[in-house]
Amino acid sequence: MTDTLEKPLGAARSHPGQPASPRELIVLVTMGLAVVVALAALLGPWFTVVTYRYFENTVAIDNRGYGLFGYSATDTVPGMNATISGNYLPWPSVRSALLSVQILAALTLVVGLSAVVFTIIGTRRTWPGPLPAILGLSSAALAFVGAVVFATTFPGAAHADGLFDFGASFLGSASVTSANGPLTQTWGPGWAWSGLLSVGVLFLVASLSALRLPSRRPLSEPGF
Amino acid sequence: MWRRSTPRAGAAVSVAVFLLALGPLQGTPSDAANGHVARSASQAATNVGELSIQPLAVSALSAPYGIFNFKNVGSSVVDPGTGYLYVSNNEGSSPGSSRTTIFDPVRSSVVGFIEGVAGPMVFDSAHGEIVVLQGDGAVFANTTTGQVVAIVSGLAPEGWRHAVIALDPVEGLVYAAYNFQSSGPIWLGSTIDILSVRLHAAVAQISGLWWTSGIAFDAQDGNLYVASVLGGMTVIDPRKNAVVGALSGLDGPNEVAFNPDDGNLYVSSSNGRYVNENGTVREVCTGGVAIVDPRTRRVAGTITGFHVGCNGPNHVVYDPDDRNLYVANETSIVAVDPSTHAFRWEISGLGYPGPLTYDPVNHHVYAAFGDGLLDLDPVARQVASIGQDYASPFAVAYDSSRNRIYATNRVSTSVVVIDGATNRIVGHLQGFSSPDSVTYDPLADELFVGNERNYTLSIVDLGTNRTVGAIPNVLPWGVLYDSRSGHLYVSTDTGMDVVSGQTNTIIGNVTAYGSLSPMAIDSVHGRIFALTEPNVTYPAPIHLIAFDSANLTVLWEVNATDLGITCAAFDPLNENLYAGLWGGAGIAVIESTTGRVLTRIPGSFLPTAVLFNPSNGYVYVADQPGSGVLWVIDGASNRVIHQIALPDEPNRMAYDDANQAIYVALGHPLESSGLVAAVPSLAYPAESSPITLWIGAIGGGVSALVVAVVLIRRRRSRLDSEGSRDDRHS
Repeated sequence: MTDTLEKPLGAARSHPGQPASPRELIVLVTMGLAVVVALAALLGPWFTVVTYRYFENTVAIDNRGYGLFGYSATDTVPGMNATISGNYLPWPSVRSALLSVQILAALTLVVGLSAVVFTIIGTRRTWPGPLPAILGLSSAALAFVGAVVFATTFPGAAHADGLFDFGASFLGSASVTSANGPLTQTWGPGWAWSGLLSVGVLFLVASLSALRLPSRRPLSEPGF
Repeated sequence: MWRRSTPRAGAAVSVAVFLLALGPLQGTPSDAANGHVARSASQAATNVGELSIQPLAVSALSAPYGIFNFKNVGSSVVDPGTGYLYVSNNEGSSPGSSRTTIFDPVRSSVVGFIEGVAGPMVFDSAHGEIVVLQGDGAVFANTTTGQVVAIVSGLAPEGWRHAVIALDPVEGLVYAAYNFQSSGPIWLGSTIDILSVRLHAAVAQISGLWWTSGIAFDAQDGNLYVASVLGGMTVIDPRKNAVVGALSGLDGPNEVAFNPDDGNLYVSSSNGRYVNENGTVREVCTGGVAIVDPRTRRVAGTITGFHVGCNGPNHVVYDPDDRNLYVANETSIVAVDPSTHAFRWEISGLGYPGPLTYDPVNHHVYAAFGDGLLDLDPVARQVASIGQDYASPFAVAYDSSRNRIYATNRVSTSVVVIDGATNRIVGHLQGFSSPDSVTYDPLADELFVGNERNYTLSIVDLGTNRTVGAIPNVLPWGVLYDSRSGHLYVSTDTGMDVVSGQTNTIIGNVTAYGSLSPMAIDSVHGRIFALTEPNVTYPAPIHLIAFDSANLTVLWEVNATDLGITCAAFDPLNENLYAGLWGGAGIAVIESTTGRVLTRIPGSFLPTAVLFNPSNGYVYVADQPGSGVLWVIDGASNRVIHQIALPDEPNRMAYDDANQAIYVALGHPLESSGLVAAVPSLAYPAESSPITLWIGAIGGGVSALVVAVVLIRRRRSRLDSEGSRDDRHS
């Protein structure tokens, strides 16, 4: 019995040298994209607050993003643009709340990266079996849990530490009068938080697709 | 042949090649102290002719070397708990010369120091710490222990310097503004680093601001107001570190002070611009204190009338006790009533006073002023001076009984007393008149202070610190004490007097060509070396004369007109005289038994003092080029073996036997500041003789080659014998 490199679409590859099928490539690209997004999410803002402060006939705009490890803001007042960056050292509740999210996000990235690695191995070897899909599903679950934990804990912790004038909601807007005049605030999830949700979706889709891939069987060598 | 060579032979060849190729190796500096260097007169006498000078290692003095209580005073704060004043000195200089002085206004005395810490500062009452901006970061120092508890570094990028600091006591945050000015195109930028006093860490940063000139915390709205030199003010909410507003309309703002009584901010402002009026360009200066209402964020008015140039007013502080603003401009400090804008009282005739500090304990206002502070009492409307330790210190003397050093303030009336054990100023002796020399008589326990203004020599009993007598009609800068005879040799208009240290009377004199200035004492053999100082009656030539100190007989006399001797010292190890020469002629090594110049050591430009250091056997020459330098000469080779950079121009020197340090009076004769520095007696690597090293290197190389040849020959013979055995077996 002889083997050939030309196989119909969808047929199981049984030789290490056989190229990945288009579906395998789709799974790989999806997982890779998820890893990139997860990496970016670690650095981007998870929660944003835009504040407009009105004083006399001037307005000061504070566009603030809170990330997993610190915050940054751009402040615009007449004649000046300032950039602000800071950490959470003075705010223990926020630090505590973010610790679990940091761990979950890091695990999402590590497990997701493992899924990608095993998917790549799976295109050349038979032994990983369903492991890439399982890892992908795990990464998706971690991402979802991380996003939910952040959404439920961060606003409350930030409110407790006095970072925000508004309540403990994750999304909303309000107009209040502060010591620095009337202000309008709009707050909600930042792109990094949405990105983590996207990571979860991407890993979920990729893992389910990987599970539906035909199983791979080894070929008999010629002459046996 | 080489294939048969042994590894040992290879190593020997390598050593030989290395030694021959590299030649003499130079020594490296060492901090290890050692004893005397054994030398002889014959060794030194062989070095005839002018010596060449090699590039030398130049070291700065190790910390802390500067002996002062107050020096280049800058920012200060008051601890409301103890009432102590913390004063920054020598901000921006090396750690060895910068320190924070702790001053107790009640006792009117210095009670401690925080070494190596100086800069703009705030006091954090909650933790009992001062926060000082220093270098590219901040230092947290505990005021109870006087110790640095934390250092935050790396806040400011290279080239940026700190300008302003403010404390928000409510949030426990320190706002440290670092500014930067680049050259062409000019860009004035500022970054504010926000430090948590509880965490001792930076927690946020605000960048993109214009050059920050002042920050004030408004306790009523809880905001920080940051003034920019470009005429604006930024409002920062420290609860969120957000910029919440801005205002404009200021004209060259400098510092900002908050007045809790009317809720306004007062901004010392000054600016200058050129205007063209009918073809004539003239400079117009505006100066005043702008009143900013933080509730409306508008400039509500300006207090004017400070009669300043374009550089003031610079500093402002509010005294809530007498409800006056204290404003420092170029030449005065003015107390202004902020409600009526009326000037209450003024201290004029100053030169750039400030920064200003309000003391909440005694309700005084302190103004940094040169090497000290002005203490303004608003109730009595009196001004007192704190610090000003030195006024051009010129001469120094060592008191071996008390381990104290005395330094004369040449443009003042005092002599500074320094404790040699702690290197701290412990007092001043007063009542002199431009003192320019000081000599200690250990037998009588008396101090002889020369008064330049009235040509007298004051005699101070150190048991009582009282002046017990004076010797008139002397040239007070020329005084030397001879420990062998217990006499003082004092220059006069007509020669030199011998003063008995026991009776304080003139027991003899010698008349020469004009006056005679004693230059060096050889207490071992009882000789005194003096230089004639020609005057109108007796013009040149200048003679260097050696006298027997017992009977004042002349031992030898040489014409020293061409030498230009400015100072001298006797080296008892090689028994030579080392004389500093004027005008870059270096140092002359003179045979003390004949007056013959053995050699000249080039290097020094304008030596002011020469001193033999008995602890390491070196000769030190104080030289005045630039900021000053100490040349260290090894008498064994008559070579300069080290240079020590000094922070100011050196004058006279004295050796302290107890702590083996050289005390150098530093300061320009025309400036009423200066300081005394303690130079440790270190051992420096002697510059090896190239001939000796070459002999050693060649000898070592040849020896290694011989060893290599022997080893190779033995190897060859062994191989040959093994080959013969193999032939026989086969």
